Amino acid sequence: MSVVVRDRGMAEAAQATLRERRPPGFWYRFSRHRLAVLGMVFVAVIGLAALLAPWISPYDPYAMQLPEARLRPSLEHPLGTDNLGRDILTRVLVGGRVSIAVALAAVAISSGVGTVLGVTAGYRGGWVDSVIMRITDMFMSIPLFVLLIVLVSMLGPSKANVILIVGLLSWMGVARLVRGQVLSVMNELYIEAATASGAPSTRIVLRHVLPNSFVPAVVATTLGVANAMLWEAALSFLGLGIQPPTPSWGNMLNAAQQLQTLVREPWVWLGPGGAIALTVLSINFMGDGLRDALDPRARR
Amino acid sequence: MRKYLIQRFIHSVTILFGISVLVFVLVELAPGDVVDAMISPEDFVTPEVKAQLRTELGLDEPAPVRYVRWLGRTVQGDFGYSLASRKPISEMILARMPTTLELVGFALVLSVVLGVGTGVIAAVKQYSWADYLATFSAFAWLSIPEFFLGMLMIYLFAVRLNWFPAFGTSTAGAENHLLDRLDHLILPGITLGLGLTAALTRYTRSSLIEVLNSDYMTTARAKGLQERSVIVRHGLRNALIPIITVVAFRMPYLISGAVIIETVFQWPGLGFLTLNAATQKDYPLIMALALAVSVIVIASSFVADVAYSFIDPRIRYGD
Repeated sequence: MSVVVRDRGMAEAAQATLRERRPPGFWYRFSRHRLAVLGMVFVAVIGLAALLAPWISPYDPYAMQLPEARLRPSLEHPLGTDNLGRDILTRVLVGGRVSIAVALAAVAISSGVGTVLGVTAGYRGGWVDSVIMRITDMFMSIPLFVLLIVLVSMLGPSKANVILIVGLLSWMGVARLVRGQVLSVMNELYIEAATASGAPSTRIVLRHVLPNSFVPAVVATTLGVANAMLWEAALSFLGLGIQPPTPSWGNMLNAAQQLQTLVREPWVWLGPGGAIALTVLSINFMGDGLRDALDPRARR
Repeated sequence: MRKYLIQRFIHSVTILFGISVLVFVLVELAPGDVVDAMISPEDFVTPEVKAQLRTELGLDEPAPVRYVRWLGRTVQGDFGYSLASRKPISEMILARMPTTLELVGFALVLSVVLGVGTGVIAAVKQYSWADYLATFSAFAWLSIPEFFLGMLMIYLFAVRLNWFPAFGTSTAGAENHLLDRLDHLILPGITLGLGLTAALTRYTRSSLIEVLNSDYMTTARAKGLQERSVIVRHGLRNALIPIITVVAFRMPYLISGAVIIETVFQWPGLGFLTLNAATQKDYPLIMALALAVSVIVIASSFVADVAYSFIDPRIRYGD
């Protein structure tokens, strides 16, 4: 029996165990987690509504309508109007587009960076691993929000900068998880088999290590979206994030820094604030459900 | 034990060193320098004068030299002067530090009491309605943005119900009145602490549930001890060990939260100062604040590690 055939046999066996290990009935287990399903439905609804905002709402999110300013919630304006007479529900939907898009883009960056660093650290080991993990430790012990403020104030507040900075400051969780997973995958027989058959390391990493280190990163990425959303909101709330007139959930709350709005016009900030809270809560529930569904052993 | 402490100390110092390099590089990359910031564009200053100023201030030296100099001064507590207020930065920070520590300390104590308490109830009565409520609200507190929560608190408890004051650290004229200060601490303290409370609830719950299922708990019960003392003396004691880690791990979040909470509640501490420094592009001040805050965070996580090793002998004697 030649080495090549043996390798193929082992690889097939490994594939088989992989298939077995993938929990049977992922969707079944996910659907048992009622709050996770509820969260997913909510995220889908708000995502769709945000996407279709221009077709759903009869109002212009930007045009001033001063006679209509500061109206309480009514049938025409379910969430009322702001100090410039713009319909708040419309702005919440359009703002949702911005907030969700920014969060997704930031997480794409952070998960990418985290995965690359995690795989490199876990696969290379040795001093490369130590250096990467020290840097990770360092980033985990800085109060990141302070650094975030520093960076945004230097680079200037813009959508692109918020995405870049939030993305580059939140890769640590994914990096750690992926590294841990890579380390345990490296002990598997199929890696030994691939190495023994002379596969180049790029191929080993791309074909064997990465696909098998994926699961914890999925959960961390989901929760990362919630986190990025909170950061964008906080920055925009402070006036350092998305700049008006473009609405985002955070900068719509910025208006409530004025005492009059905070005290007398609560609908102005309750709408967008509620949207952030519910969306983040839903994503967190989804992440929790995903974790349980993907890895039944980790069930608490 | 000593070896462990020394290791941890070196680790903390390495991280601090890394942060100082990071902060220095960031400020280097920022557009404009101190000279540009000091001279307003309306003043007509020739480039020659500017160049001379830069030489006097040592700005034309290579970056590594300036880094070492800056670090030397920083270690001695000399952070230079704020660009906006022209006051010594160390004075500004020291003046605001107690205000922030008051808020963060209060939030910390509050959330340990609330979080551990709720976690214990949830664990002991697992799968009861109280457990579901605790688990669900822990999720909710971790999901609501702190500033939004702060607004809700102000609107509900200060504006509508008029139970607590919303802004500032004390009523004018009653700065040293303990009850008045406490009254002002309640809303921002609770708002700031709820994230940590939620994290502690979840960890206490899962950690205690694990402990409650262990053999020595059965032994304690078999000895005929009362359920209450079984849970407190044998259960909680062991469950508390990982909780210290959670507190240390959440410290950066608590401090970050303070920046926002101080803005919402107009609490004149370091967070408030940080935001002002950022909007005014007062780089020396930002740099000093980022460092000062990092020192607080790293020091507290070092203390937590030490406390941890005192409580858990496995760490002291293990590898």
